[in-house]
Amino acid sequence: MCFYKALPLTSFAILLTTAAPALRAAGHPANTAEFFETKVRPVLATACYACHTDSALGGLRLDSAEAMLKGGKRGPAVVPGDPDKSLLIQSIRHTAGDLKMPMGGKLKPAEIEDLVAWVKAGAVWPKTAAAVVEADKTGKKYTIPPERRQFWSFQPLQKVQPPKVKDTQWVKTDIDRFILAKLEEEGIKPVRPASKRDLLRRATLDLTGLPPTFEEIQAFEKDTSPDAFAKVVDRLLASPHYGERWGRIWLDVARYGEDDYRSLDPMRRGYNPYPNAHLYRDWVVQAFNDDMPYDQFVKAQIAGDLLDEKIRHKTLPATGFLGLGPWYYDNGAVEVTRADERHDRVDVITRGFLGLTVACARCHDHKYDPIPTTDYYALAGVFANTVYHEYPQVPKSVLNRFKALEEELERKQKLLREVQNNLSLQLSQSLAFETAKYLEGVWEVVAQKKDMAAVVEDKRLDYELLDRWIKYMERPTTLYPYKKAWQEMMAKPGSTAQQAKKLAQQFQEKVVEVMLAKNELSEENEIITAKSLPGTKKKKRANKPNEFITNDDFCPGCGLQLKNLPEEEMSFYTEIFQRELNGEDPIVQPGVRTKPGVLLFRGWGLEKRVGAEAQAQMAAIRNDITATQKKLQPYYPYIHGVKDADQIINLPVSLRGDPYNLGEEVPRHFLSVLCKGEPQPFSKGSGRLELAEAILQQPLAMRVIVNRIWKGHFGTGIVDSPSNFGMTGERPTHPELLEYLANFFVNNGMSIKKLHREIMLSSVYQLSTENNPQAFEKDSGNRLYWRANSKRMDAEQIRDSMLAVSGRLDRALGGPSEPLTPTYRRRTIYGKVSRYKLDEYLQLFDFPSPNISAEKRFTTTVPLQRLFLMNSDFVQLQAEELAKRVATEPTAEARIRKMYQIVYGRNATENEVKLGLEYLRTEPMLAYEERKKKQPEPGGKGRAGSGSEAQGEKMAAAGAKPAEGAKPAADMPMPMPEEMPMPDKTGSLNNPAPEMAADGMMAGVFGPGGRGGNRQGPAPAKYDPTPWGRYAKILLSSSEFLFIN
Amino acid sequence: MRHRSPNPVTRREALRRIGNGFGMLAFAGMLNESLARAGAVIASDGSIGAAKLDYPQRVKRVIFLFMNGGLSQVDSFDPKPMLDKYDGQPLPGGEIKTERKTGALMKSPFKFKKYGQCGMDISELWPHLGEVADDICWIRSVYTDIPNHEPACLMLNTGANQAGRPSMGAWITYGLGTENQNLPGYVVLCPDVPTTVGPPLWSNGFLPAINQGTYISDKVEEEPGSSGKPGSDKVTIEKSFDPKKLISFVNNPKFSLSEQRRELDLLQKLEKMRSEANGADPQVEAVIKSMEVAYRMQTEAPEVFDIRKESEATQKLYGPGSTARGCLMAVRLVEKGVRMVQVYYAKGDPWDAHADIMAHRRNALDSDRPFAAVIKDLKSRGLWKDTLVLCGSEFGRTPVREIGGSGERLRNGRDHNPFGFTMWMAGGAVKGGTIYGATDDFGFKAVEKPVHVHDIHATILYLMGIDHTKLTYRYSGRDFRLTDVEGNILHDIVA
Repeated sequence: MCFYKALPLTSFAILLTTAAPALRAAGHPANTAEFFETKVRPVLATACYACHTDSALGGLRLDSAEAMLKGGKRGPAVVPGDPDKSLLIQSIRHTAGDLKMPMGGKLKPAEIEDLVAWVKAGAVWPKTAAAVVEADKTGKKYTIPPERRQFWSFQPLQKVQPPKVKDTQWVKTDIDRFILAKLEEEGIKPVRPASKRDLLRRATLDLTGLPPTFEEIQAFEKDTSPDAFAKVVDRLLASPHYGERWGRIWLDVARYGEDDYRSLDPMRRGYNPYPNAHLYRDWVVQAFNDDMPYDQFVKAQIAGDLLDEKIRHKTLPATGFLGLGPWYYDNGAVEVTRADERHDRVDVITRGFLGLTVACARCHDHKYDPIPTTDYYALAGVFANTVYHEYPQVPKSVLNRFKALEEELERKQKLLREVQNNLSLQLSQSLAFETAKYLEGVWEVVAQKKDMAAVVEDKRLDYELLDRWIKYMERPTTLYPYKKAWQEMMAKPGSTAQQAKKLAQQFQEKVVEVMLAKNELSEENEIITAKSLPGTKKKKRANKPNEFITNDDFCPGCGLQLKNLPEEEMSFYTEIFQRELNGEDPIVQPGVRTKPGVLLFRGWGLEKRVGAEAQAQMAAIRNDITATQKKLQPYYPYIHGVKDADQIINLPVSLRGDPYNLGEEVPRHFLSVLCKGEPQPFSKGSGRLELAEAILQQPLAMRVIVNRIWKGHFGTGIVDSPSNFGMTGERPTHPELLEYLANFFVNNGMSIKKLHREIMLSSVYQLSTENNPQAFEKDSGNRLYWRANSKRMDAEQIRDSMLAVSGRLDRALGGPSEPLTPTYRRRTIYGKVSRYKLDEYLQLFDFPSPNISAEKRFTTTVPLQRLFLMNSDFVQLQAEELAKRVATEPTAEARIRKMYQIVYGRNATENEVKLGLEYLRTEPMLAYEERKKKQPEPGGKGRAGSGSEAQGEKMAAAGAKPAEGAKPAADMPMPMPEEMPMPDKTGSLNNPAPEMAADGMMAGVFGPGGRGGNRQGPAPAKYDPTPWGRYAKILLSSSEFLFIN
Repeated sequence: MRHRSPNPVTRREALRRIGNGFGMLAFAGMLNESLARAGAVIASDGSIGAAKLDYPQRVKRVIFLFMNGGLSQVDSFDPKPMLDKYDGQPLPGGEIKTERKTGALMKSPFKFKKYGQCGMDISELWPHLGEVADDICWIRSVYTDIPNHEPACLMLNTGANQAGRPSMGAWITYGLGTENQNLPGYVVLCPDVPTTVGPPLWSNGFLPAINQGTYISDKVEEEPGSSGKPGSDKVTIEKSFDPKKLISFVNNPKFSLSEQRRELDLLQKLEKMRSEANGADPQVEAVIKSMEVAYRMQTEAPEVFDIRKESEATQKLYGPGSTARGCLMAVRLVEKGVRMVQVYYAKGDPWDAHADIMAHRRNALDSDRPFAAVIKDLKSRGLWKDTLVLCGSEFGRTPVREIGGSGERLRNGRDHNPFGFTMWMAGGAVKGGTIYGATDDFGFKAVEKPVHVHDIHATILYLMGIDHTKLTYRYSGRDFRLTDVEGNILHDIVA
């Protein structure tokens, strides 16, 4: 039932496509077949059949008289002769409580009247009229009824004439005519235009994501020329920061992420970051800055690897759109995860470019839109043939050098491991033959209470090994009986050296026996392994998504059944040669350190026991490895893209979405409803280029992108479900305007910048956010655009604006992402975007989940956001920097005034100055006194505690001089910038060389322990808050700063 | 001109702004208020009606104790005499498809005993839980889809096998909001980021960010000389324990509360001054309100995490260790009105006893007493009636021993088993002492009254007053729900 509740906007005119008016024969009585066929059936077909034939939502079918009388879960749909009692009529009149039909809109009054008349006349369903849509239970071909093709968003672009309006004074552009016509129809007057300051701030934040400077505002206010604002728009569109703003808006749709959550990563790193993800992000930013025509923009992202060879180097980074999508590893359900990956591609492409929710058709024909399951698998097939591929961004020679180095490194590391293992094994096996000698030592120390050092000296033993034997022989175990005799002897007083020697000898024999048995088994197991694996060399572990097909790729040889010692002996062997089983509670969790077996030595313990020569050998290999690793730094950049698979296949339908239950094979092709006639199979490779071209043929694609741009400016879309232009999406509030914008876009070379300009130069864009109670009464959601929407800045705008006004913003473009630490000075778009764990700040301010294409962002207001403003080091740091910017002003009042100009781009009012002065007059004193109180013994404890308090006191003292007892004058000198603690300089600027060895997809190959993403936390920000800084923070936390009017 | 708009319109507008796709319940999540507390719902025409849940609300809050890695049912709550009888022989019906290669049947090394009026068989691993067996509703027939930790953990937490969906806690707080606005509505406790899945397990997915679980470490740092060993009575709270440091941004030692109070006062004066000049903006009103809440949160949030405030007797009831600390915090949190708290055992998959089932002993030693303490403590605090405790793993373990994979390291471990395992619920809303469903003779597959994880979710939502088919969220053109297109309510276990 939520479907109905979920759809607002019922009071707005809705464009519902109806059957061609020519068919509408007038004058037939309402009980005739003619009336039914011309007035009733077309309405039922276009408005109801999507849900009330086969889908039978609410249990209701509306394609036969019987079905209507039988009704659905709420009872009969019609009571012939009594429209008022007929649920069908009540629901289309919207008088049936929450049952409002059709979904997403309301029929035209004339259509409602026709249906009312028809029911009143007895709801005659002519005998000649068969049910329109037959239930398709036999699995026969899905056909799209012609009416379903009439849905508004599937129609060709219509040429529209801007309507006539009364208030021609208000109209600046054709866009205004569409807007005003609607407002005049509703009797609403648009509010006054925005002030020049508000307008400039809005436009600047809108196009660049950064606030204008006070100087820019003043210049604009002074410019009285008629094209003053046009000049501003052109200037902003030419700014390189434009691409950062609008590129990011597209990245929401593209579900841009720099890692993905892989359920079982072959390299055991938990998840996999994409070290070069930024190449795609930077491509998007550049595409916006270059005003790349939209068709090229689309083609490059879907098929950048298949375009003309001459331009391919420019389009390859765009394939990150697909290559950076989630790739899942999952042994155990490979079919499901491959299908899930394809699902992501189908979803992001169809919703992103076409506003169609094709992904819904994975398990069944789309419930609302005419999209059969076969269409889904026709598209999924395209992505079944699209595999992950890394495109190196260096010449072949460099690449070969790297590849050779990597292989070399791998071989050397293997060698080192083997040398170490061999030495360790040799050592432990030779020590096995000294078991008896050590046990005698154990007896002397434990039973005879002899000094351990003396025993070691006397018997020439290894101190640590003796210690291990002592502990081991004491520890009880139920896992094997071999220690029993020894322990019984030790439990009784008065054991003799003779006894001890005998038992020690026996124990040694057992150790050696088990060891030799194990050695033989290991040889056997090696043969088993070698036989089971193709070739003689052990298979390499798969590392990239496209390499991972079977469980054996994930873990070569893991499926083998190897031979083992009997359980007791195995436990015994383990405890002597491998690891301690800790009695009954073996802790064998990965990552948890276990104690080594008695005779096992590794690392330094091994090295010091194997002699100088072996030590030198290992050191040499290690040095060599380090040298090779250095040669691989910095690693070469490469694009995370896609390419066509070698073998092109078609996918079968997964029945009910189950990849283990397969149906007929479907050729790859475009969506049936968007094709004239039968869709033609794709024939070139995967079919991605054909898909991109087919998308670009669609008027729908044009409507979708112009609507996204519109929404980006106004906050709401003409269709406010920007990725859903289907039945369950919204209908456009201004259908003709949408057509106008789409036409404009197509006629202007699909230039997004021209579209911005066209939109921004209208009167409607330039309205103020002022309220108008009458208008509010009629349209509280402002869907008719009688005013501008006041918007809270989004996550990027807040952070970037704070950096901008603090003067600390590093405006460099592009490059690898870094964590958004408090001291990171670059724009937020250059912060790391993790699907695995989204940055806390981004999450807090409603950044969308990068796991799935986002059509819009929310704006939530939650206390945690205020906590960030109050307590985060980032905000306070910016505030302190801002305070420094005004420090050179001569008086406190002048500083406050200056701060207002910087933060708000306006002059402070007298009252605001007064409040500020009051705060700053008392604050240093109060703060000082508080700190004083908290410090029980001044100077006693030194640097104990956080340290910052002591520092803070120093600052307060320096700033306010309260110790002198004089009034802490408001005109006191500001601390000079040098006295202010400088934030750490971490701006990484233009480093084109990606830092990838540590956390790339290839990371594991460089050495053990290469866990990605687990970098050290950021160094804590070093600063001390000052009263002026806190005052600046107050200004930065105010709604005037955080909202855009 | 009159600018001020009455409050209800503001809320309606708030709802409109978030666009289509929100059911009525979204309102609570949006304003971060409890639906019942807010006393209002938005009808489709935008009017505000009285709060109405789908069912009577029997449970107000949930504690979810998660034994990540996979607890073996046949070694804990589901003994099988046939395993003893046929130990070392192959499982009838041929080789089973789990994650790795498995061999012959393996009897449990642990002794079982009957507990309580209900006569529940519980192994020696869980003596404290045995004491409260009659307070617990045991479900022995749970099953899930995939025998791997990650998909199975995701299924149990989000109702889907791939990452990206909202977690159960997110759905619950989205639907019901939280009772205490000064605390996060959904808290996740674990010593270190748990399991190989990590944050996707408590993600808000496509729901608003506010519904995401707040991860907090309940790690017990071992102090030199601390005698806080599992099983001992001594509970040590390390000197460095600082509840203020547990939540991001809730505290910055550089600022004192009184300084912040003065900052807020000035900010509010400035806001008021501006709104008088320009007309009130509902969004700004919301901002001002949230400032005050945030201010209060700074003291209230650390307070509730401060387990030092508990008596020695209470601390002893839970015993030492991270799980105990997490369990105690969980009870304190729900007491203060947090909607859902999840306690994970530890990072990685600690219950994943591939190599040796004896490893369960240590884990159970850490968990048994605190789990029983949660039940006892909820009762003594008067929270029993409307708190639900859910406990279990992402799947169970095979009755056969594992032999594949890393070969020689294996001795007597068990592989993953998604086909049948035990979970339990407790609280006034469910029938204590019930033993529901059963696995086959070998404890391998749920055969009697099988319960899919979706059914567990449906039942929890039902107990909270929500119809799981109605708590939907329109995303990507579809109405998503926690239970996907599945889910049956287990009416038999409802008290």
